Amino acid sequence: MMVTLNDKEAVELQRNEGRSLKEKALAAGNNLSLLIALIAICVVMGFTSKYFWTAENWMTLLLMGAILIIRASGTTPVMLTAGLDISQNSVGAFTAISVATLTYTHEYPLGVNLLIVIGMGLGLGGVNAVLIAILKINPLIATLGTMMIFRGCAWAVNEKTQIIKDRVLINMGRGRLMPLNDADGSQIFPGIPISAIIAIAIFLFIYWLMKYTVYGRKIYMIGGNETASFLSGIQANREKFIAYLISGVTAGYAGFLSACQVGAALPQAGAGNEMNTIAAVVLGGLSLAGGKGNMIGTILGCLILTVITNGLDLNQVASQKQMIVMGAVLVLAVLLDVIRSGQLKKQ
Amino acid sequence: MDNEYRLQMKGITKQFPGVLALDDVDLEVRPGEVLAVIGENGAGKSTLMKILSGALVTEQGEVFLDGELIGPDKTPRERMELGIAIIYQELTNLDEMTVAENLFMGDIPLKGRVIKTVDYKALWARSKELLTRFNLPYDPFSLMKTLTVAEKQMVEILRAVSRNVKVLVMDEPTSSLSETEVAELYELIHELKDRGVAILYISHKLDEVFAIADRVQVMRDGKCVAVHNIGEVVTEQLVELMVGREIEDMYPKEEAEIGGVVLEAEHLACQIARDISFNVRRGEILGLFGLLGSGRTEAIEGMIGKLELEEGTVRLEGQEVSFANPIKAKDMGVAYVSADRKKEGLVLMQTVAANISVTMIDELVKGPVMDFKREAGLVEEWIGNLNIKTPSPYVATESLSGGNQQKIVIAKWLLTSPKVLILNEPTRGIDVGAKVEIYKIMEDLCKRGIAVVMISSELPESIGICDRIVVFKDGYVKGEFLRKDFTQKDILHVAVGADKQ
Repeated sequence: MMVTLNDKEAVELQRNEGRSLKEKALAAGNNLSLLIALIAICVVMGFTSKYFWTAENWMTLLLMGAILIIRASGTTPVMLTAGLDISQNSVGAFTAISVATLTYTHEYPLGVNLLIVIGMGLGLGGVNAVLIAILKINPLIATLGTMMIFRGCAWAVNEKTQIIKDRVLINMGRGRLMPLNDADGSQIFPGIPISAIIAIAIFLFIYWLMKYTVYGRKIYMIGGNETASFLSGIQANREKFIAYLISGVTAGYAGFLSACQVGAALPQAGAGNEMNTIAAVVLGGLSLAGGKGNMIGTILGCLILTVITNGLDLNQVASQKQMIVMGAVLVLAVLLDVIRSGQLKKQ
Repeated sequence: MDNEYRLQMKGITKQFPGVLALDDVDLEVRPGEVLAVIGENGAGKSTLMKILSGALVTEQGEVFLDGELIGPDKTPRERMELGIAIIYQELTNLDEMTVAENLFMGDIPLKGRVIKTVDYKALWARSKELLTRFNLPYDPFSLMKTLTVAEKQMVEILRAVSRNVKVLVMDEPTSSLSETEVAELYELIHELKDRGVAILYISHKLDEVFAIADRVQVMRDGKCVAVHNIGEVVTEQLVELMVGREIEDMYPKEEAEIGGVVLEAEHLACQIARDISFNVRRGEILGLFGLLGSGRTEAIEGMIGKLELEEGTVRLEGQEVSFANPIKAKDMGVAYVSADRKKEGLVLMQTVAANISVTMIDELVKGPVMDFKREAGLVEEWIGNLNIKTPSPYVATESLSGGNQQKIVIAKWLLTSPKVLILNEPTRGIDVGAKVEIYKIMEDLCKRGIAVVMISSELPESIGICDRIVVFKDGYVKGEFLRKDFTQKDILHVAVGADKQ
């Protein structure tokens, strides 16, 4: 009897192994196909514009993408828990206009400015965290509410455009590292944008957090099955609370950095494209049901959206019309994912 | 054509991977007759009903309704229209809609030519007529959620009636009903019988079978083992037919040294569980046996703080304790493996390693990062200890078989070095080979001085593996048996309440 049992198990084991390999391929395949898509888009953009492949354009592209990368990185943990934060852009606008207004008259040093930014980001993210992790309000509804509240607060702080004159701040936004010029002054390399370096640093930190720390593991467990995780001793509420703090603080900083790039804070900054961040993360293969997705996917999603924007800009497509392409790319990507995972056949 | 029978199922066979769920089963029921289908969990009752309803398809066997063959390609919807209706244990009402809308779901009366709108007058009239016909005093336009569970069930049955039901299957219909509600249900069943409806009544409560059925069909291990007219059998016979299987070599029972009392519960009350007292000793396997809904789970989950404990005291090693939640219980050495492996036990999409190490995750750190090496070591160790069959610790848990998944849940709790391990239906939905391994694990734990509590609704395994069995019925402890006094009949008598005779 034992022999037949072992045979059966062996068969089962084999089948499972086959399945797990396929799953592995799918998991790796997601990031790989995103990378291929990114390269393909770059190739197409290269054909439509000679300027696309220049170093200058790529550095501009990174400058443009920095804000999206910070926001998307910061909100990935939230979305891995099956949560959502659509208040990010409002948090950013409120933070940016508050700090810009304060520092215009008081001329704070950089450290103080950053402290206020981080403090506000944590505070506003904390409001979301309390509503969602403690009071158990649906994340979409909670952050829809705070999105409107914080936007209103931004208008209440300052109705006009608030110029940023502090050179240090402007440099953080627009500055370049290591530009190279010819002897006669013409540019060889435009320099790496400081804000892109900051964005990559934030991305790497959250990548590390998600992949190598206990916190990251807990976020994945909660996203996969909150009840089981809680019953196994994970304090789901606390970890989710922290995730919304991370989303808040990155949102606050991204809003402020964006103002520094522009050279002015506006109460309406970022209004209307709240969903871009979520689009980038979902494009990166994250499941809105939680537990599935990773930071590499997130940054690839950000790069794809940024490259498309940049390519369309170069071809002088008005940014309002670009939304057609963005929306189509998002739906197509998710559709491909559905087809690949075989969900259509199941029904 | 032979039309004596309303429904005939002939030679139904259903093969699941590795398991023969139904083996050449026949079933016949006449118009106006109640046929009780009884059997233990896993006997194949629900598989048979699923084949009838079209939820499962099998190529072997034929189904006839009033002598007409119903092909296996008929969808559940088509079968419903032909007059086959099933009332499941989990009700399918829409709580936010009215009683009338629930009654005529999918068949709402409409009016108008071009733009069709709901004809509320007709809806109300038809509902009222149906409700009065069966003496049910509900307002057709009250919201479904204002009804009790029993009333909702009545509505669900009437919904089937409104569609000219010919064969009505009721799956454990009384599991959440009070006694008076059961009486009302019986009345309704009699009404339906008078109308010539054939009723299949699935249950494992024998007193109900004797109260309502005309004939009884007993199933065991995927086969139909007997069909009797109700006047010709007695409870003992049915009990014997239900359990009569060879069980000796499945249970690796060994004598472990039984020590002092570790965990003690006195007069616990939690939801339906009332006045529950029991204790468990070191090295002992204590069985909590009873049918579904007998209060075993409530008593345990109340004790460990998963549900709110209304009354009673709990003592751990002589000290009075009160567990605020299962985590506190775990920290104090009482681990609980819930019956719902998928919802409460595992994060299925995550790796085997992550699921095993989760209970110790906060200790598996090296500076700010996770100590993946130590985790791997620990996980490999437990995969070996419990003989978990997985191609690697890093595959998704959902890709493993039920038995191996269950071992992962057990491993995760053993990581916390518990004094007491409580297992709720640990062998549900896993194959025989894996069951034996789970029993072996339980024996090993006993030898290491752990107290094991097993909640089970399978009598053979309770008898096979336990040192002592506490029997639950209707929320109360109704008896306690020592291993030397175990007999299937005596225990089942207490559990199904056949003492009413």
